[in-house]
Amino acid sequence: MTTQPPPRRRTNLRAALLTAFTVGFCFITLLGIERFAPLPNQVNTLLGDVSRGLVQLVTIVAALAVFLGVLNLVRVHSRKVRRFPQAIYSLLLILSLFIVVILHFLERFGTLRATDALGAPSAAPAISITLLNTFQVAVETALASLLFFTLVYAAFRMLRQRTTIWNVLFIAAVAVVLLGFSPVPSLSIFTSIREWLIAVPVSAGTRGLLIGVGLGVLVVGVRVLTGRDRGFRE
Amino acid sequence: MTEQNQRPMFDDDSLPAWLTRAGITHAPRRATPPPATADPRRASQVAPRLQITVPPWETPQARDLVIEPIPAPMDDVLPPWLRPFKGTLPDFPAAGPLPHWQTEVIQSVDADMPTWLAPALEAAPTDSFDLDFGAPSAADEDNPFADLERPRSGFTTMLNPNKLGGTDIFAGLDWASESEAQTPADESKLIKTDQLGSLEWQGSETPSSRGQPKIIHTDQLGSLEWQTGGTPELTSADDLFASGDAPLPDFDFGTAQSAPPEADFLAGTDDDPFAGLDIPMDDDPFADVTPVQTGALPSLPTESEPPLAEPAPTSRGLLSFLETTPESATGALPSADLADMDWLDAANQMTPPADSPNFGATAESAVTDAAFADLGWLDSSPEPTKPAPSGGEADKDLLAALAGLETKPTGQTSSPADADWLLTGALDPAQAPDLSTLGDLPDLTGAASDQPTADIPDWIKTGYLPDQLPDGPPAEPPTPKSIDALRASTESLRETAGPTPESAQPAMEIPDWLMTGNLDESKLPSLPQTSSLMSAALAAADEDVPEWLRGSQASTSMPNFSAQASAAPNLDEDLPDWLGTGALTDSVDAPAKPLDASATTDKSPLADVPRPSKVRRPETAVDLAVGDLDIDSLLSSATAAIDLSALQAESAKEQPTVEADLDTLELSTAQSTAALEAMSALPDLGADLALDLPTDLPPDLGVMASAAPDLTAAAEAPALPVAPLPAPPPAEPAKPEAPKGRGRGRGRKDRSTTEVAVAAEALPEWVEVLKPSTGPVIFEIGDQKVAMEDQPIAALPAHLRALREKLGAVISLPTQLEPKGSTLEGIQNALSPIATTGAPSTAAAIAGGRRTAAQARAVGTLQAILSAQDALMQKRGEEDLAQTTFIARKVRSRPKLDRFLVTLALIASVLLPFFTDVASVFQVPRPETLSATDQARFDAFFNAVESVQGGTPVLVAFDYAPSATGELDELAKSLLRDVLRRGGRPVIVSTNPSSALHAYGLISDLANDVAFLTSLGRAEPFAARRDYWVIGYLSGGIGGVRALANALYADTFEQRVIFDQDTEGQPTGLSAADIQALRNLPTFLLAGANEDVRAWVEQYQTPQNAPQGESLRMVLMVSAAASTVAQSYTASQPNRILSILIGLRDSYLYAQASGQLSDATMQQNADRRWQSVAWSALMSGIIILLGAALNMIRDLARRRRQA
Repeated sequence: MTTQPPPRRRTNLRAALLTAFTVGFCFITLLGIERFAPLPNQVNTLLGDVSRGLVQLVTIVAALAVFLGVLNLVRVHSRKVRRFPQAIYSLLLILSLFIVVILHFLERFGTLRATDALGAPSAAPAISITLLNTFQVAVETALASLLFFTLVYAAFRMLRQRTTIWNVLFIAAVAVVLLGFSPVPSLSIFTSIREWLIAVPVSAGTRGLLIGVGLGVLVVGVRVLTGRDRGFRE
Repeated sequence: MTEQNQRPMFDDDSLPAWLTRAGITHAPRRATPPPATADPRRASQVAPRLQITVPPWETPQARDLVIEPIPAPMDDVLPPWLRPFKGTLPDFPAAGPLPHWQTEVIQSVDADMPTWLAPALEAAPTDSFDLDFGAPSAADEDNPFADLERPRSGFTTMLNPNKLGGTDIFAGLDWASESEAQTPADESKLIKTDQLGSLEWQGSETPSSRGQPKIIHTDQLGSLEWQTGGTPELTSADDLFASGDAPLPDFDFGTAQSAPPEADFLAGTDDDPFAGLDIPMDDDPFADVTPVQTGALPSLPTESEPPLAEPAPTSRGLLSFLETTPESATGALPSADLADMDWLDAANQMTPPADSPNFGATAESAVTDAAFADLGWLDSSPEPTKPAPSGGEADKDLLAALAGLETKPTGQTSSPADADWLLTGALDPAQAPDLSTLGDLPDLTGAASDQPTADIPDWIKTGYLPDQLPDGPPAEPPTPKSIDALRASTESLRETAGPTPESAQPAMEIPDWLMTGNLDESKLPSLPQTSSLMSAALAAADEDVPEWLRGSQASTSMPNFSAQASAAPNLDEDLPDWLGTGALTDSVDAPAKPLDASATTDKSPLADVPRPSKVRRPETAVDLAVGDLDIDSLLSSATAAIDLSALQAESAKEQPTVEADLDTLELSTAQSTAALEAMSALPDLGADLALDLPTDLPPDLGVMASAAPDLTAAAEAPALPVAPLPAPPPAEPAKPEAPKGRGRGRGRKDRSTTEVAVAAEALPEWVEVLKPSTGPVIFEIGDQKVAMEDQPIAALPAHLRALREKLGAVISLPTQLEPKGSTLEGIQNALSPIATTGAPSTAAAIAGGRRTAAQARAVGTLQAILSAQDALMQKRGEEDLAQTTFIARKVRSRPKLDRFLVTLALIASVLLPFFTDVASVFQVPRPETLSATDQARFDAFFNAVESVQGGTPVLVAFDYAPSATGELDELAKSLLRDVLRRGGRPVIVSTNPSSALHAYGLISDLANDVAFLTSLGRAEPFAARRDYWVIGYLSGGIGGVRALANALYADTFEQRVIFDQDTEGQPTGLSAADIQALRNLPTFLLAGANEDVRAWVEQYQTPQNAPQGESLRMVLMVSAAASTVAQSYTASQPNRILSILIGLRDSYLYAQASGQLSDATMQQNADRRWQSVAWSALMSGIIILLGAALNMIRDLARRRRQA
């Protein structure tokens, strides 16, 4: 019996072009970021200019992407609004969006302007800032504070289900750091332990993470440069 | 192995011409002689001449194949052994000396050809060559048919596309029209009807269109077995000629063809009265008859002559066949050779797939294993020692059939249906006529009439067939009287049945010589008068006709319908049960008439002769719809009536088509007594003869009058004597031995038929196969196909009958809905038997849902599974519901006290320092109490801040989310105050949109803070775009950070994009010097997460175009969460990252160290806040330790109890 040859993969011209563009621009950007000694200065300069232009292009495209994201957000939640009252939160989101945008435009064009303590019109967009601090900052801070209670209670119940060495170690580390942070003179020993923990084990672990991240970025970069990683298709 | 690998390595074109002419093609791989076989039949069938073996790719495979439609240029698809003859052969007779090989062929054929046929062959010149399918060889000594002449065929027509009309020569093959509706998904078991040219007689509804070959289930070809005779297996086109190692048929190029190619084709496709018959391959009863002056046949009516490319639908059918029977008997067959040509054309049109159905061994070519396996029915031959005739010998047997025809006054045995089983060696010596007496027959041709007996083939003389043909009355041509009777009966039948599309066949499609019943004798110069010839032949042969045959024949050679009408009752008495009282009479009161061919054939005196039909082709069936009426339906109805006599009335309602036909026939049968009884008494195809009548014929002519002149003569013949018929077949005759051995078809049969043939116990198998209604009904389950056949109820085993009764009872059960809550809730009778269970056992009924015992068990099993599943799901649902209820109740009834206490303790620890000084127990950090490490950090930080000169822009990055504002806002405010106090002008950027706006609000508050302004001695607040800038949001994440770094070093477009406008869209007014100053001072980064720190540290670096040795320095001010990463970067890049401040504690220290807490209130608030943080941390630690201790003890105790 003759073995059937594996089916040939269909060549997608579009994917091939995208890969070629991606690899090319990656090389240009890479050479533009750091001067490559074997190349002439003019070439390095040119590559640097191109690289900077590409990076700047990225920021512009990203800004447009944010705008498109806002439009998509409006579109999605507009669909959900039709299922009222199940989509009450979508309605609130859309209303909040339009209210903030309208207020911002009114404030920007001078139609609606807050005043400072002296009664003079405020130079800063006080309305927009107030809305931000009143709603977003407050809500996020409150949620972060609730996290404090949750984490403490979770640690409190951690050994209820099962007692293992790792659970005990984790609980001990948390307790040492917390107690060491509190400036209690009688608990200065915990402070010393805390500082040692942060300086040695935690710093080592963090560096290890950073090294791992760096290696991962390097691998991904190589794969992109060699055309093996084509995440841009998605 | 792929087909490509099996193909010959080189083509015929690459061979030398002399090799090609000699038939040596593909010599290295194809000239391999057939392997020796122990089968004596095989050895006897090896043709000596032109042994052209079949290439491997043409050998039959073990499975069915699709016979692909032949493309217009057939060069590529023709078997290689045919290619050499294309265009290379000279016209015959050749002007010059023939090649030696051709001469040999001619001589060989002449030697083998009966002398009485020789004049006919020599009569007409031809420009075509013929193929001799194997001349007898020495190995054929035992073959009684060895002396028979090989079939001839107009291969010119086959090879010349022009003569094919450029169209599908099998367009008339309409019998497969029904198969289109059931086109199977798996086309591997299909046969394109276009390739079955010789089968076109079986259908006559609509011609298949060119390029759209109709598809037939090979299963539907099963009922063709009886017609293929010795070729029960339809495998492939190449099987028609050669298979495997079998030698291919010899081509008799010396055989004269009496008609030009066009005439051949015309006759073979349209005018050939036998073209419509299923004269399969070598079993063509007239194939051996030398074509005599087909070109001299009367021309067809010109106004109705269809184009050659599109042969008319086979409206001729059996009628045409019978009409031409006398001529066939006389040897003046109008186009007997054309019939051969027809099937040869069909055979050559077929592509040679590996395992296409075997149409049967044709000539010597059918000596392959498969062919012999398919010929397994021969094992049941009454003469087992006698080798079965090969295809070529079968062709010789055609002469035997012809002889039988001559000896039978009715002429019915000349039908191919009879001929094939006569020819295949299945003759029962005890019942078959003794053809040895045919030596006394007059020569059918005028020239041959004087031939001595020595010219008679040996098998005739030696008396291979049993000598049971008694003397009989001499044959007499039918008289017009009988024609009138037939006409009357037919007219009455037509009136009763009503016009049908098929019955509306124009008379023009029937040749005039058939219409008038008179051959133009002037155009048959070499032939004697037909009637006289027949009379002479029959008179000579009548002595050898057995009594039973004589009885059925009466005293005439032509069927005398009136006489048969009188004989009909006697026939009915001997009819098998399924044809007799149980078949048609159960449904109506009209007398039962064997209206189908099978029934009449069954009553043939030769009915007991074992037929080869048992060797049915697996998964093949043939629609026997012939002529005007749907014979298939008729037969189906007949079978239905047989099977379910009690349900006949209901079935008539449920199946209007079938029953309508049946009723029509039966009513007509009741109305016309004598004539129709005669018709019913007609063996074989008599009914079809009566049914295949064009309606537009003039009354005086009548349909039956349009038959051959012999029929007219038969009308005046005396009535058939009621001769004692042979004993009817026993109720349960011994079942013919199933095909054994090597056949592939056998395996397919076993595979394809699950419910086989219990009826064979009661009926001869060949009779069963004759019934199209019993054609296998194909059940397609995915790619699997199961063929099932209708069987009479009487033939069913007892347990199946009991099951049938039970299922019938189930049908009457009231409609039941599936139980509530089940998977099939609300569905009526979801798993109940289908109501058609009690319907007649027709094909449709079977397809509708008759359940076998196994199926019933499967249904029961399925129901049990579903019930169990429903019960399980219900149980689980109840458990889940109970569990949910329990959990909800538990949540409501048992609040977590520990959680409440923990929360309460934490809240108290956080809030208590703000309400009382009693809680201020913790020591407030002071810069003086810092450790050396912290002191160094603060020193570096203050150095960076102090580097800010008056009016110098300072880049401050706000990259923390609002959730980190509680931790970093104080640090940011302290930084901004310090910068502003030092005269710096903060330029604020952020990669977080909300952070940018939050920073704007933060610095705006500071700029308008009266206390702060007062402390600085400023009367006016700080103004945006003058004292500070909020550039705002840097899009692109890390790309934005990189772009910012690049923008600091290039006065380019990217710099303007970032620095030209602030977050309010106003021009910043930053100059190039201001931007350049940003890179000279360290950037203060306020980051709340590791990712922000990493992005800035890694991307905010000097670009390539930066001045040598210059770097962008940073000061990190991060939250505690990002402290680890920031500390790592700070430690690794001390020259670029100047310092780091972490969280609330460093913020408090920085504020104290920078003197920003000069106010007592500010200091008090800062202290309380610090106490709150200290209490919270302490309380959290205590709570966590307490909980860990309690739970650990509890867990250990539980473990101890468990131990």
